[in-house]
Amino acid sequence: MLLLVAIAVSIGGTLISISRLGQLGITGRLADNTTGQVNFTIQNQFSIRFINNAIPFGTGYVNSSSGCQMGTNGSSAPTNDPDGCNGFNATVNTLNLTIENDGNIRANISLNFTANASGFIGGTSPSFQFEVTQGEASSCTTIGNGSAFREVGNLVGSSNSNDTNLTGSRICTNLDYQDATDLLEVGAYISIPQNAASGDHRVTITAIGCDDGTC
Amino acid sequence: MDTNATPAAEQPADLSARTVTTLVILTLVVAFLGAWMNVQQAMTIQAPAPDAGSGTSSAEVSFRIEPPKAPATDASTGFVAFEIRPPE
Repeated sequence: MLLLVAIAVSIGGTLISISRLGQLGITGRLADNTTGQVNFTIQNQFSIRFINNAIPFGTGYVNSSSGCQMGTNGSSAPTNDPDGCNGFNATVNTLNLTIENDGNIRANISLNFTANASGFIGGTSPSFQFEVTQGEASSCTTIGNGSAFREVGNLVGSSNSNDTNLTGSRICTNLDYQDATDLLEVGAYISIPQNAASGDHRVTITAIGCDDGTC
Repeated sequence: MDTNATPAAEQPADLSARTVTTLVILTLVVAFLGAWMNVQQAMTIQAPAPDAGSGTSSAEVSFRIEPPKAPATDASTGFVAFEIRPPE
């Protein structure tokens, strides 16, 4: 009697197993009908990157009490101010930092700077500004801080949209991910006083992306 | 001919009732576990990997200041020479 029960339970368990596996659509059981399934899953991939990650203003010296002013994003090139800027990168005004959303979900973007004008340039009354523009038409739903050239690390006032903290300045809300609309441009402008120290001057800008309100 | 041999139908059973019961219970347990593991394994395969939710990328702005070049200087040497000869 027990043997018959064991056989019955074993056969029953096997049938239930095959039945459930069949419902998942992944078995190769012999088909008794012509229905088939092809399944795939698209995962969300979040990724941002600088596809142009350097603005080299070049090497030169300042020979004017009014200093040397240079900028990217089509602003002033050093050749526009030959008395102040001697040398430097004559074509730097054609450059920008370019951020790309190369994932497949929209991204919010903020910027961190490792230094403001005093730390980056030095001397008397230096200036270090940044500006954010659409890289492609309507790439970013809302450009926040940096919609015009703004001084880096300059707090205009509490909760003022023009504030540009050294860290966490939201520059874009909803940067698109489609190839035709996934670029964002970040320009830079510097004013070097005549008494700025000789040597290398570098500042690192980190773009932070998130798919929520955490950046 | 051996007249003392026991007929086959009268030989005692090879397996006791307890042994049979044990084997049946083991069969039940193994069948149940096998079916359970099959279903669990198949359902595990369906689980998607978690999505990444944030990212960072860095860039650099740089320049180099060199001290103004010193005014150009140059030097050249000329000679003024004469010779004194003794009276002839």
